[in-house]
Order: sequence, then C-alpha cells, then structure tokens
Amino acid sequence: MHTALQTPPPRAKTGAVLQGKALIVDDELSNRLILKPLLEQYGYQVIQAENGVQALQQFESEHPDIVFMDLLMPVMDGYEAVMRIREFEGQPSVPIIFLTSLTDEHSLTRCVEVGGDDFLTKPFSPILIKAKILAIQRLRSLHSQIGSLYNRMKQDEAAAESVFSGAVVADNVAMDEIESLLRPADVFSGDVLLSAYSPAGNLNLILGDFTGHGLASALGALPASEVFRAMTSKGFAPHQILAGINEKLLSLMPTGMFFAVQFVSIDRSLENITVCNCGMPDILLLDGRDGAIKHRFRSRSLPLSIQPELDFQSVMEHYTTQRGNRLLLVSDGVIEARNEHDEYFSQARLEQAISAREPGDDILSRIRHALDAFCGNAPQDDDISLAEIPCLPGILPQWDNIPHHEEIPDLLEETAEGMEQDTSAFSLILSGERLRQTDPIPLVVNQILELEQLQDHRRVLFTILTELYINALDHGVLQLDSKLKQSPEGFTGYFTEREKRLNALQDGSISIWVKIGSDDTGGRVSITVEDSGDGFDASPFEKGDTLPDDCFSGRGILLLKTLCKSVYFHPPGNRVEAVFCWYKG
Amino acid sequence: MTINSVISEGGREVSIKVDGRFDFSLHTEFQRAYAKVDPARAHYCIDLSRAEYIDSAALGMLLLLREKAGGERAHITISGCQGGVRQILEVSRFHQLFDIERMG
Repeated sequence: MHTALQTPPPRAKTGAVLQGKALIVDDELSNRLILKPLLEQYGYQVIQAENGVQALQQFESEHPDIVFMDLLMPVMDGYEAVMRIREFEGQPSVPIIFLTSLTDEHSLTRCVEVGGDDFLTKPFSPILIKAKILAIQRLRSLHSQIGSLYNRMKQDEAAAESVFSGAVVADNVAMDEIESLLRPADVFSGDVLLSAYSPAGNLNLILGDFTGHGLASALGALPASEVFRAMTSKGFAPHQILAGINEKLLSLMPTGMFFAVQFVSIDRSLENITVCNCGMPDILLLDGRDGAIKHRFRSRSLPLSIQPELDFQSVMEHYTTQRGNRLLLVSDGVIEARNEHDEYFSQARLEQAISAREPGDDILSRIRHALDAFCGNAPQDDDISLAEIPCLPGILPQWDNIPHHEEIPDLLEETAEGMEQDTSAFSLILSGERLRQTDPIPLVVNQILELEQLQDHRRVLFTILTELYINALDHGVLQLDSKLKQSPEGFTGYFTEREKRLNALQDGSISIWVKIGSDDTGGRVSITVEDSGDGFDASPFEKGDTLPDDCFSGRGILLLKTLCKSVYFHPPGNRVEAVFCWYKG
Repeated sequence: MTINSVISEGGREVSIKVDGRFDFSLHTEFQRAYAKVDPARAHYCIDLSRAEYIDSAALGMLLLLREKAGGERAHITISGCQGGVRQILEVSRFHQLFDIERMG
C-alpha cells in the first residue's frame, strides 16, 4: 500500500510554495529590508530581531525554519546567539546562515565552530542569496524525506518484529524457570532461543545463531522453530530433529547463510542430558551450588544449513547430571563483545565471572555485570544471548492429564463385550538392521492418534510406548544390564555400550501389537511389545507400586504401572502387555 | 581491512590474502578477487595469516566460494590461521569442508 510521504505544503500569498518561517537577525534596518522581500519571494514568512537576545526569544516562541544571523550586534552578538540556539535545540536541525562583512579566516572559522551552516557576505548579492536559499531548501526536503522514511521503517520493523517474535517464541515452555539474557544488536535478532516438551516429557532446547544479524538473519528462525516444535511434539529423537531443521534450512536459505546451534535435551528424570553443539561456543554444565564448571560440551559438528545429510547421531553426547546442576547456553556475541580498546570479552572473562559467583547470587546477573563493566559505552556488534537452565522439576511439564488408578472406571470388565464391535488393531515388526535405523515410537503413537481422538493423551501414550520399546531393545535385544548405569561412567558408559552393541546388531527383533476399542463412555488401548531376548524375572515388579529396596532399576516399570490400567509380563518376561484406559466427559 | 589477490597466468591458481578484520565489509572485495577466473578449474589459497578476526558473514563468504568452485570437488586451502581465527574455524568445524593448514 502506498501513502504519500508528505502532504503538499500550502501556498504563500506571493504564489510561491510556503517554505516556513525565516528569522532575520540584524541591528541595521536597511539590511533587513533588503533580505525580507527576497525571502518572501521564495516563499518564506519573515520575522525579525535586532540583537541576539531578541533572536533567542523569537527562536523559542516562533520556531523558525531558517535563521539569517548578523555577527556584530549590540546586547548579544551573533556567535553567542547561535551557540545558545544550538544549546536550546539539543540536536542542530534549523539551518543558520551568518550575515557578515568580515572575511578573515578566523572570524569565518568561528562561525562554523559555534554551529553556523553557511555565510552571506555583505553587501548582499541577490543571486548568491537565491542560490543559498535553494540549496538549503533542497537539503531540508531531503532531510525531512529521510526522516519520515526512517520513522516509517522503524514503525514497520517494530510491527514486523512483534508478529515475528510472536510466531517464533510464543510457544516456548518453561521460560519462567529459565533465566535468559537476550540483547539483539538490531531490532531483529539473529539469535533464537527455543524450548518445547517431547511427548515423553523431556525438555528440548535450542540456542541458535544465524549468520549476521538484523532482519535477513532473523528470517530463518521461523522455519527452524516450526520444524523444531513439530518434530519435538511428535517425539523424534534429538539427532532426527537436528537433521530435520538442517534439511529444511538447506532448502530455504541461500548459500553462505548458516545456523550454528546448541541443542540440549533434558530427560524427565533430570539425570540424563543429550547434547549437540554445532559451531557454537562451549555449552557449560555448572554445579548448582558453587557454579564450578563440571563439563564443557564443545562444538562437534558443522553448523546447520551448510551440508546435506549430516550425521548428528555420532556427534550427540549423553551425559549424566544431578538435580540442581545448571546448563549455560552462550552465543558468540557474548565472547566476542568488544570494549572501547577493541579487546574481546573472551571465554576467560566469561568463566571468571561464573566462578567469582557468591553463593546465592545468580550466575546470569554476574555475567551481565561483568559484561556491562567490560563493554562500557562501546557499540554492540553482534546479538548477545545467554540462557541458564536449572535441572530442577520446575522445568518439566505438569502431568495434568494422567488419570489415577482409583479414578478409572472399570471399563475393561463392564464393556468388554460391547467393545469387540468397535475394535481396531495393527502391528509392526522390526528386525535386524531395521532396529538400528528406525524409531517406531512416533509412528505407532501417530497411528493410534489417527484412529482415536486421543490428542490429550499423546504424552502418556508416548511415555508408555517409549518405556516398553526401550526396555525391549536395551535389555531384551541388546542384553544391556541396568547395573551399567550405576557404574562410575554412569549413563555415559551405558550409552557408549548401547551405541556399540546397536552398531554391531545383526539379528533380533521386536514386535508391537496395538489393539484399540472404544464406546460412548471411553475406551482402552492395549499395547503388547515382544522382543527376541531371553526375558527376565519380572516377579519383583508384579506386586504393588513400590520398588524392592535392592533394585537397581525399574523406574521405567514403576512409571508404566502408574500410567496404565494394567501391566502384565508374560513369562519368561520378553513379552509385556500394557493397557491404557480413558473415559469421556 | 584489505584483500590482496594474485591470479596466476592461465587463471589456475588464485591466492587471496586478507589483512585485518575479515568480516561483512569485505563482501564485495572478496567476491571480486575470484570473479574473473573459471571457478571450477581453479585452485584457491586463502591466506589468513594477517587476519585478526573472522565473523560468521566471512565464513559465509568462504562457503559461497566453495559452492562456486564446485562444492565437494572444490580445491580450497586456508592457510596461516592463528589465534581467534583458528579457534572460530575449529568451532565451526570447517576442516570438514576446507583444507586448513596449521601454522608451523
């Protein structure tokens, strides 16, 4: 849509376009009389003053658009008057032309120093006056056009930014618990902080940095956040999500524009994290109490949107954390922030600020103070982004849709006969190499959701299937012992071993059967997972809802029992049936 | 902040030396340095021994050159990287895409 930049100015009496008010300051009447008609001829309404003091009063009350100022006058001379006018304006904006008979360099230099724009030498030459007036009019019109274009651009930018950030970050989760410091170098930021929950209740986070900053670099944030949210909510694994974003951006962004990323997935137990650093500064894992750096996750991959089919799985890091640990995500704008002497804030200063931390003082405030003290008034070159994530229950989703045992009506018995009328079932069998390549969980969950309107239970279904499938794969097919998790290497060792066995996997299989039945009051999903392994002694888990004291693992089984109507281990323990029920209204 | 480039006779060897901050302001100059050669046939040597700094826009310029020069088949050597420049190339894992010579 086009709108006129300026409404056309009204016409002056003489017929010339009205240019505004001109203030003539001269103690000699004759000079004023020569100038006045000339100015009127070019469209100015003329006001007059006889000395500097009067000039100031006129300037403040009449707001002239141009000033003609004599140098030597009684009461207050021209130098003094112009200095005070400039002081009054703050930003010099009204053109001031000195009228002078002095021609020595010193006097003219002084005119410029106090804030004058140009000179007219007495006696006046009408042709010179005309030339100067026209030149100044051209400048003023350019100036006001640039001003209004700039204002419009700022308005457009602000409006676009609010729509844009709404689309990109409005769906973020856990932001009350995550401390962040985000300082764009421009209205638009090339840095983006995204968070979302997976159906299993894990928290996925991205701190990303697009090449450059400003509008152009912010554009990629929209598709990146869409892919991140869609794939996270469907339960894809971290390496699959990164691959998805990589392919999407490659198809959209021009060569030379890329997306460096810190990706973190915090398991809902708050004890395991999966991390991938693609071309960003180190991700730091900090001790919750003293802020000591426990681990750094260095960049192990190219940034996204450079190469197709990057292997993210092999660069993923699995790490065991403790409750209360804190993760620090940092963009390079922090480390490369410059001060007035062109020095960088640097990784060393960042870590100094973290370690200087007093107990009870929060890490981000310390970094913020150190950064502000270091940079002073130096201009900011790049977007600055920091996020601190505590491994505490507050960051996890609130499981408000889980029905408790007592509340579930006994659908199984009451409606079993009726349900046979309205039943659907499907199965999926994965064997050999397929087990390495395919993650069937999102597939099966989405299939169930296709058949039944169970969007509200997506997370629960996902958790049930994940527990069943991982149990079958890890302990059944891969024969991994849960005790490994208790070893000094903890989960890291476990995952390394898991990776090793998975890569060497030749045979073995997992079958999944799903049967769904529903009626007007609710329904049930029965999920059975069978693996080719030897099974295990499930008897300690059969009874009650508590784990045996000497039990190394079983948190997963306990969770299953909490979420499901029933969980049954078919002897010898390699076949598990879990039944989930829901009811309507 | 300048770029010096030398193109060998026949246009097979292109040497580009960057002095000072290697950032967005060198965009046009950097592209001009190799505009006249047949991009797919040339070998490129980017000398960063005098570069004090490299930003992500400059990394993007290197990627553009790589694409012009045939992507996987490009012959691009980056030499003389030290200090912060080397660190940024390492963090970005650019050795997967370019032949990066270490300072001796």
